[in-house]
Amino acid sequence: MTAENASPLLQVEGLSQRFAVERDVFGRPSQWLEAVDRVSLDLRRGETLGIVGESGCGKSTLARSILRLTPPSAGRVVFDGVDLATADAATLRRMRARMQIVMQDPFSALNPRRTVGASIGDGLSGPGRRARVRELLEKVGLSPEDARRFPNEFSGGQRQRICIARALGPGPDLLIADEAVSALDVSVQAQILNLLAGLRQDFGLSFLFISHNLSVVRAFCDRIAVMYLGRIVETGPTEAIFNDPVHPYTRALISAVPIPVPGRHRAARAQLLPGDVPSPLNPPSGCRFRTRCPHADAGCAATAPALDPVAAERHVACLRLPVLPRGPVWQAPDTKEAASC
Amino acid sequence: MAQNTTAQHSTAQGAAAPSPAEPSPATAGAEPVLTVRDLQVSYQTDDGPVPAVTGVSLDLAAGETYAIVGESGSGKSTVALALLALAPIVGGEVRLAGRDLAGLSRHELRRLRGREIAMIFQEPMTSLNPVLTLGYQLIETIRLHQPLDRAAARGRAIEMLEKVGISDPARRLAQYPHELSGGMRQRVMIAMALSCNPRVLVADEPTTALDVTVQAQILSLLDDLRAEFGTGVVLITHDIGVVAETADRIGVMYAGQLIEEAPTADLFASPMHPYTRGLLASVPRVDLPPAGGPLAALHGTPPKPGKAPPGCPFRPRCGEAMDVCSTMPPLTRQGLRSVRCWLHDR
Repeated sequence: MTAENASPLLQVEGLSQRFAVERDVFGRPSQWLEAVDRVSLDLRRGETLGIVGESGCGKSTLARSILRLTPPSAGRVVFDGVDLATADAATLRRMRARMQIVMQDPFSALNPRRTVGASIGDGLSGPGRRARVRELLEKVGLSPEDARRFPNEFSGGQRQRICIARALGPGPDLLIADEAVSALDVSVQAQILNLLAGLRQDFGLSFLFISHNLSVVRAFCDRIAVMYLGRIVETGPTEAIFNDPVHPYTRALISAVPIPVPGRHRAARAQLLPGDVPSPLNPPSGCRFRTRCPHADAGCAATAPALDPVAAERHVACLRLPVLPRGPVWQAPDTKEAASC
Repeated sequence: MAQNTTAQHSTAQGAAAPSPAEPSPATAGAEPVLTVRDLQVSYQTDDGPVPAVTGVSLDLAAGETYAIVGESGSGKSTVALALLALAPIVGGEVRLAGRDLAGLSRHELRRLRGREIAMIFQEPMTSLNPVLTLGYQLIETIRLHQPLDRAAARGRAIEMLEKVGISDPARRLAQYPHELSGGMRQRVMIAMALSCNPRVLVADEPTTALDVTVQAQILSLLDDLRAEFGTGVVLITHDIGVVAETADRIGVMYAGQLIEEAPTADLFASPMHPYTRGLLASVPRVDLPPAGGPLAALHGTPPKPGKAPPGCPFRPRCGEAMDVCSTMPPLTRQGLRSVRCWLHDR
């Protein structure tokens, strides 16, 4: 993966993040929660990588570890050639300016007592600061006069635009969007996605796009990494994965999404997963998906599968590759509809 | 269906005239279990009354799933609450199995809720009492509405938990809500709601807080139970995919009004209201590669409750707005469909 043209913008190697959830009488951790377990991924310059998975799979923790908002327990994060763990404080500050995050809830992400202009200006310095704030507001589709207003005067979609303007302030190379459109209404969600796509092009941004919404991910991302209980189970180019999901979890996840076409979804029902995601406090041994997997056998409990290549740019962590069903989870669209007309 | 539209159109002109408040017939011949006529709900606030729902009418047949879709602030959850007389109704009527809720005393309403009409909410954690066991809560609900002794009610509780797919139900009765996952809690809520075999189940965003693989389980469960018990389901949701999969008919709400109503297949095949068209177009498709270029997006945002402009509330966002749109369009019926838009008023 590393042999391609330029070096990747972001390299994550064997990243683990664990939290002590219980301590003994001496204050030593006695039980750990492994939120992220040895995750490795590369993000190329100008690329959008989607991180998908259900709640508790560790996708938000991964984002926070990459930014060192919670320093990772193990592993390396290399941003533009600089290892963030060993970088000195000044370098880390410089690097952080180049990696910004937009969070899910635009209501709690802005200080209600400060004007929008003051919030956006936080990441800026120097004499041109005020002009830059106005320019940023225009970039995200708001008016320069909005700088004087307070967050409560804006709708959810407009607030998310403000958060995006604030993130763009320091001129980042990497934007991490952590469920950035999930709290928005459908019609507003499309507006914000279009805005992000435009900014991606204008500023040459790279994206780490964290979402549980697979429809949005398919519309926005170049590549995808699918996470389950703290581990990546499958990575690959977006269209390759949607047309031929390999890991049983990826197949189940994609086929569980209701399709906005009446009657089209039913065929995929056969892939309905039993049960719930196990507790990350006590994950299954071996392959963590085996307790819900229709293809699991005894070997899956013994060995944790590694992320192995299955095709060009595609990696899957599964011991049962030869027996897995392949191909699209839905029948080709419109064949039936066209035939009936 | 598509070939018939012109024929329906000409007959619809006469039919539309007499009573714009009459909704489209649910299913031919079947007596609706729930009828709503010209419902008006208004909340008292410090800034005076804020109308949340203005003039909603609909029918629900037994065993039917009627979905109300809309964005936040459209009034869809207020309609859900009003169906159980839990929202301040200021006009119109809600009739459940022929009885007008407005004419009932508080005591009668309490007896009605749970037995005749039940509701499940988005957040199953806040709907269950965290300090009582599931068994206590389930058995209490059952005994409140049915003349069963403790042992029989316990048997009924176990039976219901089995029906909603909870393993080892007898042991679960001794557990507390926090010991269950979100999906399991929602199953318990569904078991509780259906334990008295209500005619109508109101489900307000029942799967929104759940993961997509669990959502698929719950939707499938709701559909099976609806078929088994013949319960009429009013499903409130913002998720267009969920609607396409589960609803028989759909009502689209915008700014407190029902702006379009149609059988599911018809609505998706040929949405009539510009808002419905924009809404459907702005949903990214998970089953198709992206078309390239920007997503089709409606511009602007929905008005806040009570802040809708006069006339058609969608007018400021509508690409087809005309002069006449500054006056409120009537609800026009065409066959099984109805729409509130001047483009379709003939």
